[in-house]
Order: sequence, then C-alpha cells, then structure tokens
Amino acid sequence: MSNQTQPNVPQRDTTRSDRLLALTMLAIGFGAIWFGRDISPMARVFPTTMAVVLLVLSALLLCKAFIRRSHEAPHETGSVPRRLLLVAVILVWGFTLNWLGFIASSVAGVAVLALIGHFQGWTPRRALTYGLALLATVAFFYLLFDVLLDVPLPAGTLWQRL
Amino acid sequence: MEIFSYLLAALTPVNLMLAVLGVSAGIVIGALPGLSATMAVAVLVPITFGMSPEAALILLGAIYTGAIYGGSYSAILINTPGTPSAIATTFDGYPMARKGDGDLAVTLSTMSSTAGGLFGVLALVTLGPLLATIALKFGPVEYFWLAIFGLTVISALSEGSTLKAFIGAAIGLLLSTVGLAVVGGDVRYAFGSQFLLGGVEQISALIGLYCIPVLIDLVAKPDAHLQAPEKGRGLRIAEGFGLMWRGKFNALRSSIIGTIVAILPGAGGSIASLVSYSEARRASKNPEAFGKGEPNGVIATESSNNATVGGGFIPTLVLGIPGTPPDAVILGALLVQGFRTGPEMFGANSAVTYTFVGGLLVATLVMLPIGLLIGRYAFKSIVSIPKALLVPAIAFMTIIGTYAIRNNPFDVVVMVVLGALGWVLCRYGIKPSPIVLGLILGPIAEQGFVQGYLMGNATGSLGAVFFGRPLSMGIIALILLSTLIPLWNSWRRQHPKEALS
Amino acid sequence: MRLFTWSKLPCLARLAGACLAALSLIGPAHAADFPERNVQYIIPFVPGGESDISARLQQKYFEELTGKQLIIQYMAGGGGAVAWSQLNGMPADGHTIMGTNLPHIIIKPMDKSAGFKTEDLKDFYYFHFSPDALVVTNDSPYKTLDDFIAAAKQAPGAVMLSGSGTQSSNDLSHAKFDKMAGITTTYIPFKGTGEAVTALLGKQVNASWGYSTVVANHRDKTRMLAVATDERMPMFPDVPTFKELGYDLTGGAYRGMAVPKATPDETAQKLADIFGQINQNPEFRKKMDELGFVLVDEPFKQVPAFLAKQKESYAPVLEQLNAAK
Repeated sequence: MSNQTQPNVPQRDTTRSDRLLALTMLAIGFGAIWFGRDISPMARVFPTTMAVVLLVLSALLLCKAFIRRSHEAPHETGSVPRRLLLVAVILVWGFTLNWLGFIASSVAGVAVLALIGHFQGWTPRRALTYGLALLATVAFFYLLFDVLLDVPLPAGTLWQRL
Repeated sequence: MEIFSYLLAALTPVNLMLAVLGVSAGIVIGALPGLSATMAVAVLVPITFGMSPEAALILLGAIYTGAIYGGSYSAILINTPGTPSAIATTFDGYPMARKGDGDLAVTLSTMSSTAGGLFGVLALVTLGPLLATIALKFGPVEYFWLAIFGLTVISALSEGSTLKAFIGAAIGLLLSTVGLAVVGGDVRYAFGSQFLLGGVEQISALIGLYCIPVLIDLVAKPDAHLQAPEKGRGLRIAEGFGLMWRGKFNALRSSIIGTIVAILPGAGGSIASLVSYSEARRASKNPEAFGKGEPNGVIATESSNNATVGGGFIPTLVLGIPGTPPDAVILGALLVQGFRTGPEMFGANSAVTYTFVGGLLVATLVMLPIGLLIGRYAFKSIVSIPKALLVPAIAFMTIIGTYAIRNNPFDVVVMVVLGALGWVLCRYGIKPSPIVLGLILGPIAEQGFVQGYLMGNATGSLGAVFFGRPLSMGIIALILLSTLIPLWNSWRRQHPKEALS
Repeated sequence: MRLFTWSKLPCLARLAGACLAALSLIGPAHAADFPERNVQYIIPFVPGGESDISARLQQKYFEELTGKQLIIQYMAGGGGAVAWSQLNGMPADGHTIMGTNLPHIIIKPMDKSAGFKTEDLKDFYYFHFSPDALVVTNDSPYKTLDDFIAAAKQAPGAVMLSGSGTQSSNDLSHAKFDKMAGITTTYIPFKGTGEAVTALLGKQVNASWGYSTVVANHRDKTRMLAVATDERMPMFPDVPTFKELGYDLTGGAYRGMAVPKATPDETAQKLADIFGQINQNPEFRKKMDELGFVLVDEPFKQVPAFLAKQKESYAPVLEQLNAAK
C-alpha cells in the first residue's frame, strides 16, 4: 500500500530479499531483450531501452545489497495463512470465470472469502444474514450488468458442453 | 447577452432532472472500480438518440462529471482508484481515512471537484477557441517529454527507496509494451497466448495492483479497516471550507494544470492529477506531510481531475478532436445525430453549445450537495460493514469491474495475477504507484519517441527535433526543475536559517 | 459503497422494468423467424471510432426492419485481435455478430501471434468503406497531387505524412502510392485518425494519409489532393480520384460483419439479407454519405471472392513492407 510509513514501526531488514529481487529483475531484463529479438526494429527500440534501464537499476540495487544493509519494508503482522488463502482464492476465481461461468464462480468465491475474512465464531443467524447479503450483492450486479447494461457475462464453457 | 439566454435554457425542469440523474449515476459508476466514465457514456449513447441534442449532451456531460468525481470515493475509502484520474487521490486520501478523517477527505474531494469542475467549464466557455490552439502546438516530441515529466513525479512520490521506485517504473514501462505495438504493428511479448494478446489493460492493472494488496491486508488482521469517526461529528463542512480557503491557490493552480493537460488529446486526467499533486507538494511549506494524509494532496488531485472534464471538451467541440476517451464517445454521438463540431459549435450551433455548457455548470454545482450526501453514507457504511462482508464484496466488484472494461475474461486473469505479483513486489519494497505510472505513461512516451525519431530522420536532424523546439525546451526545463528542487529543498532543510517565511 | 448501491436498487429495478415494458410494446410487429431476440453486435475497438459510428447508424434501421434490437458491445484490444480470436467461442446461433475490418483481418494473421486466422472468421457482409485520401491543410503549398509529387521528388524522404496505424489501410496506400509515383516519403503512424489529423492541423507533418471521413469532419481546415475511389464522391465533386490522375489506387478501410464459424449458412444468409436491406435504406445512405463513407454491397456468397481480390491487392506491398523489417 502506497506511501504510508509509520515511523514508530521498526522496518524489516530487506538486504537479503533485495539481492533476490535484483536478480529476478536482471532475469526479467535479459528476458525482455532475448524475447524481443524477432520484433521489428521500430517496435523494438522502446522495450529494449527499458530493459537496459531495468538492468542498470537492478545492477545498482544488487551492488547496494552487498555493500549496505537496508531496512525498507515494514514488519507485517497478522495471519499469514489467511493472506495466502486470499491470494489463492482470487487466482482460482479469476482463472475459473470463463470455465465455470460468472454466477457459479462468483458465488463460490464470495462464500470462501467470507469465511477467510471472518474472525469471530459463526452462529446460524450470522451465517444466514451474511449469506443472504452476499447473494443479494451478486444478484444485484448480475442484473445490473446482464440485464440493464447488456454486458453479457460469461455463461461458463463447462455448462455449454453438458 | 445572447449567451446568457442560451445558458439559462439549461435550467428547464427536464434538463435539470437529467443533470441530477446523470451526476448521481455517474458518481456510483465512478466509485465502482472498473466501471469507467467511458463505459458509462457509451452505454447511454443509444438512449440519447431519442432526445434533443442539448438534453443528450447534458445527460452525457453530467454522467462524465459525476464519474470522474466518484472515482475519489474508492480511492479514499479502499485505496483503489475508481478511475485512473483518481490514482493520486489514494496518496493522501487513504491515509486520511485510515486516521479516521475519511469524512473530511470526502468533503474536501467534493468541494475541490466542484471548484475544479467549474473552472474547467468556465475556461471552455470563455477561452475555448483560443485554448484549442494549444492542442495543435503539441507534437509527438512534446508528448514524449510530457510523459518523461510525468515519470519524474516518481521521485517526488517515493517514500523509501527511490531506486526501487524507478525499478517499479521500469517494470511498468516494460509491461506497457506487451501486446500490439501501435508504431510497428507487431504483437510483442504475447508468447502466443490469448491472455496477453490485448496487452495489459491499464484499468485492470490499476485494480489488481491497488485493490488486491488492500484485500490481503484486510484479511490478515481482525481489527477494523478504517478508524471510525467520532459520533455526531457530521460532515465537517465548516472544517472543509476552512481547508479549502487556505488551499485556494493550490486548487486554482491544480485547476489550471487540469484544464491545460486535458486540452492535449490523449494525455488525460491521470497525468493532470499527478502533475498537480507534485506541484502542490513542491509549493507546500510542509512537503514531508504529503503521502501521510495531507489535505492539500486531496485538494490538488481532485480539483485538477474535474477540471479535465471542461478542458477535454475544448478540443472536442472546437476542433472535433476528442480530448479524452469519454469525449470520443460523445463526439461520435454528436456525429450520428448529424452535428459537426468545429467553428460551427461556437457559431451557427452556439445555442446547443452554450445550453450544453450551462447544463455542465448545473451538473457540477449539483455535485456538491449530492456528493456530500452520498459521501456521508459511503464512508459510514464502509466503516461499519463487517469484514466478512466487505472482503468478498470488494473482491467481487474488482472481478466484475475488470471483466466489464472490455468484456474480456482474460483481463480478469491478468488483473488477479498482477495483483498477486504486486503484493509480492510490495513486500520487497516496490510500491504499486510507480508500476502503474510506467504502464500509463509508457505508450505515450514510446509513440512520441518513435514518431519523433522518424521525424528526425526525415528532417535530417534528430537533435533539433527533440531539443530544438521551444515547447520541448520548456518541458525539459520543468523536468530539470522538478528533479532539482527536491534536492534544493533537502539542502534547505539542513540549513533552516535560510528558509523563507 | 455497497450501501448506496443498494439504496439505488429499487430505482434501477423500476428503470429496468420500464425498459422491458417499452421493449415488449415495440416488440413483435414483424413475425419473422429470425432474429428471435436481440442481436449482440461486438465492435472489436474502443467506442467513438468509425466502426462504432457506422454501427450506431445501422442500429436504428435494424430495429425498424426486424423489431429486435441491435446491441452494440465493445471488446477492444490488440487492434481487434482480442475480439476476433474469441469469436469462435461465442454462441453460433446468429444472435452474436462481430464487426470485421479490412485490411486488419488479412494482415494481422500473418503474424503468428495474432491468435486467429482469416478463415476463422465467417464474414457475411461487407457494407462500406472509408476511402483512403491524401489530405493536406487548406493553406498547404500543395495545390494538386502533382505539387505533392514534385515536392517529394525534390527532397526524397523529407516529406512527412501522418496516418492512422501501421500496416493499416493508410500505411498500405502510402506504400502503394510511393511505388506508383516513384517517390520516397516518410510515413509516421499515429494511434487512430484523431491523432493523425491533430498532427496535420498542428503542422507537425506536411500532409496526411487519411480517410475521406476525416475531411468530412474537418471540412473547414483540410482538403483532399486525391481520393482512392472509383468515381468522384458526391460530397466532394471537386476532388479528383487517383484513377483519373493516372494512379490505379482504390480502396480503404472496409467494414463488414462476421459470425462464429459454426453458425449455419442459412442464418448467415438471413443476416446478410437484413444488412443488405439496411444498406438500401435512403435515409441510411444519406447519413453515411454525409460522414464520408462509401457504401458497398458484398453479401455472404460473394465475400470469399471479395476477400481474395483484396488480399491480392495487398500482396506486393506486404512483401515490400516485410522486406523493410
């Protein structure tokens, strides 16, 4: 998240991660030049120049990471499994949108995220109200897009084949 | 005066109703990430075919104004710009909301959007034909330098490592080259995949890079997303007016920047608000506060991006060249209705033009009460909704919004992958803003550069093309200033005796 | 944010209800078996361009003819390739159609990574084109095409022309004409006609390879030295064609419509009939004329021959362009 440094929070040591970052970026820079060989000269100038800029900057970072220790990222607190789960769910949601269709993937995605985002216990009453509220949200946007705005949402290639 | 009677014609009950409806719908559309002003206007175009040209223009203009302003809600409340114009609003708006000042940020954004919007429309009606010539003075090389100028904003933005910020920008610039090259016509770095054929769509990248990290942060901890406001505090309108009054020069400067940048076709609201933000920071006595919840940051970006609405209509109406993508749609609608833009719009067709401008003024003015009303509920609801509902609802909106941009399921995949990568990079110290800046400015810089290069080859002098034109020299001077002044400021901070009052 | 969208729900629902009611009223005045419902018309570009504008003009007459709506969608990206590469995954019942453009759909697939082949698109009608034209500003020193050629001969490569896109119709015409006239000029590609004409009006370039539609929109500031049509355009009786000046250059950006490959031939034929009728509507013709478009009629059965002819006309230039790479 951009631009909020909390001065009181101690910063994490990023020296080692910087080395990894710089190496990854060097690889990306070389990759961009390598895969850009077949592009016509006019369209190649810009990406190649940018790749060279990236190489130079990463090389600088790499040198820096071996000379000085840096503390450039805040400590992260809170639940790591929940973070990773959220990333996984969103990725699966995005990849299955075309295959499962809009409604199925969204209902499933919304339900799992509600579980991940909830920290207290579940009572039947709470599960019911939250469930209904989320279903209503999905239904509302489905109607808004598919019916009112005429944006055809993916029906799901899986169902088409059945 | 004839003009005033035309302007007053906008005040018929039907036109007023259209303005109110348009602004309200626009605000909601703008606030939802992914639903852009362009799309809102395009969806409404067929409905307007049954209307008189004035009414159609007023409705489309009102939606457009509302959408640009609405983008600030999601920027302030969930750190995700609803439209690219609101990128810079996240810099200070979201920190304000985190500190419990979300209500004040929304009030400020409403007031500055109204002020900026009014300025842009007034510039359109008074200086339109004169200012339109600016659009023609800018050649490819000037666009190139303008993009470079936009990139220097990174040095002003970056908290933490400037080196990493520039690495982020380089990644963004490289990402912008994926897909079809306008100059050269090649498909680049698509690796034969349908996912990458259309390139990285800017708005989906924006949603992924900003919104996914916010979601990840939300689920990590059980405590509230934003700090709740004190009870019974209202909208802090008086406080907002006070801050606006103190920031009046900031608002004026930002409105002027917004209007002028919008006249340049293709530059758009994102550059305008970024440049205004960095100028506001540079002029401030307290530049360290920027990025940590400085009200003047919100004032600068919001007055500037709403000034682009009126400014963008200047080349659209005077020259028939759309200033921004929504303007292109409105221009198309005008052509289908049998209107030709150009001198006639301020001559034979001036009745339509001035009634439209009147409608735009009305729409901008009604934005103030409507915006304050909606803003009040938006902030309260975001604060009070439990996380188990907020997280899935935001995630759902990012997905449907990304899909709707180009009806392309692959864009959703690109969005979530970029979001996940952006989160990882953020842990390594590379923030999303430089990446997004690179992505937006990349195509402008590349086209300007290659076109300038071709022109240089044709005239036999590359140096003269890139450095010899007066406008280019002006922009280059600005670039030097904006990179050197932070250095001078830091020197001055170490020598406080010489600081000016 | 959710709360205020909820508060809009009743109002939107009412609006939706009203729309549906209005639709059912206009509804089934024509008892044809096709189309059974509204037809989705996908434009593979951003809204506001020429493909969009001409589709918007068809929209009204489609509804008059069939009683069903033509709903315009946008699926921009990759210069059209994103939409075209996904066409065959769409429902093949004739209720989803997509705009296609020449030379795009012939030239793009020559790049392996375009994601589609020309044969993948089942074109059922080509309905108009924007003729290429050599455009200058009103105060340009080039009064005639010969002035332009003389200037180009005097300083090879120094005359700069703006145009819309690379390997677009503008680019091809530039290459063809340079070859025919034996001149060398510099073509500078821009993103779209709007930016190309801005460069011309701002005197960043000497002339522009544009379309007659550009001049139709900027009549007060620009004029054409010649236009690539078979006969002079009714709207511009004073502008000579390249043909009458001795250069065999005709063509431009053709626009048509295609359905997914699996769509039955009869359905494609029915769609072709509907759009053929729209092309005959005098009001439609008049509006298209005024915008600078030239109507053509290449219905379903003739499309393959038409495409073959166009492809042939691009071939020599393409070899030249590819060799220059």
